[in-house]
Amino acid sequence: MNPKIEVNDLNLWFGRVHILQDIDIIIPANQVTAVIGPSGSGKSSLLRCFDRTNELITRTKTTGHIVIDGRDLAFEDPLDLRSRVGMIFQQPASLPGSIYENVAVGPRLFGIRDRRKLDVIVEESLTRAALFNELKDRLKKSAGALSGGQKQRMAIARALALNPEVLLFDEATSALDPISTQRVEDLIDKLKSTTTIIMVSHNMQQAARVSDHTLFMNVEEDGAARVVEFGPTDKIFTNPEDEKTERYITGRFG
Amino acid sequence: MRRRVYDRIVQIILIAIASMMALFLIYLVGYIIGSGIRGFSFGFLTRAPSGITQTGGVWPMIASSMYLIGLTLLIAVPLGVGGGIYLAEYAGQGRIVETIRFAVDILSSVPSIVFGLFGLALFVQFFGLKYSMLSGALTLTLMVLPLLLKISEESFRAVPVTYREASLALGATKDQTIFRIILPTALPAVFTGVLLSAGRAFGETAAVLYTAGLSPTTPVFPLDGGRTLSTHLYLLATTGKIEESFKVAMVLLVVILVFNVLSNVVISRFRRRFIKEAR
Repeated sequence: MNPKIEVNDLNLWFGRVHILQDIDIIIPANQVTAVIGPSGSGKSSLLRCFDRTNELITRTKTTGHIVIDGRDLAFEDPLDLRSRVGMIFQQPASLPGSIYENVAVGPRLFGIRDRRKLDVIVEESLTRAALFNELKDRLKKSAGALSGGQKQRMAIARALALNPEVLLFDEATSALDPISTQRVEDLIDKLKSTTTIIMVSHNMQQAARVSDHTLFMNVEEDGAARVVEFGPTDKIFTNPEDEKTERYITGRFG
Repeated sequence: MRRRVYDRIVQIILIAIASMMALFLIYLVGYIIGSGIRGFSFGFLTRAPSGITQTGGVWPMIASSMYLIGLTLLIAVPLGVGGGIYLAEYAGQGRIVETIRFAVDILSSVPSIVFGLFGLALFVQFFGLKYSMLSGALTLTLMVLPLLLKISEESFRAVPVTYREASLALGATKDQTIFRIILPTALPAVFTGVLLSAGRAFGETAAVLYTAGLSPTTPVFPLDGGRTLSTHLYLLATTGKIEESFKVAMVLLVVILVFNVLSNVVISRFRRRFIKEAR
């Protein structure tokens, strides 16, 4: 197991509010790590630490380190970082314009203008998102007409167009129907050969099905969220060490 | 039972009020077109008025009105849309922004004759622009700016936050996000604001009377004076040429109706697209 991301003693504040406390984890490369925990347990905030988008929303303060492949995120150019760390949201955005435009957004932002290059990138990304065959005849049509599941896979293709090393899924299937969810899960399984995946999920079955490692987070009365337990998914779901983990995954709290 | 009767009565009253409004509009439009159409020919649109009475054609007035709208939009749209972007995306909150908003609200409730007088003092006299298209356009710009600013700001705010997130998460800068993602999305709504402004500028009389002048000639350069359709109508009506003024009124009304229909079409298209997106 190669480590991809090392989180050392990470603390995060939004203004004066302590959000994450003493997070110490190692995310393995080319595997799926699920982040579970009740609402408000800092899962999305942790995810946003990895592409440094927390700081876009509010005044943040961070201590500790997040290191990807030996490089400390704090010293990286955030825009550059975000191209290497893709984020998939719960509500997929279909931007104005065609499906093609939607996928080509990222490369264009980073200055790729050449039409042939873009054509290749768009086709590759849609293929990797298992969407190309479905949509190849209407790449120039508006993306607004796609179904929710297709939009989500298009959003994945959009992230893939920048060839990211890490993909973050923030409850990416919780607005989708079971069949679309299944497709996205299959996709995640395929994508882990080339990327490291971290997914926040409220669906315990999904976390158990899809992930290799599971991180259970919880927030105590005193405020900030902490890691309760982190380990191989099999172990967390069959033989958790912490009693709270067991109660959460069996649906008795949270 | 009583509640139902009451409900019914309220309903009937409301329908009556609504139909009265509709009937009044139909009557108004019908009356003006009915009075204007008498002796109307297409030559009226293409001829210049002649003689001391200045009747028989409105071509220079149509040209002046269009010239004035074009020039006004040329100045007002960059300012209004730019200001809207600033207020929606960059300004945040604070005393300066509050002051800007307050000023805009005040500006939008100033009577147009006051704008006219102000334009006369500032542009026509102080800056020496004379009675000209440019003076008129600058004055009209001040007048339509609040509307344009407000509609642009709201159009930008109406863009779903998911668009912003998606763009920023790809590593876009703020400027890239605004100009490549948000502006294209908001454009149809901004366009309705532009059409509404154009409609207002077109129908405006008082602000133009003192600034664009009354010369019944076709303007060529921005410093040429001209007489718009609405000021022409005002002059005709105040000098007792009622029949002729109804013809002009008809032309004005038809153009304004076209403006309104056009902006409604754009608005409904925009809405439909957003409903589709939301699903």
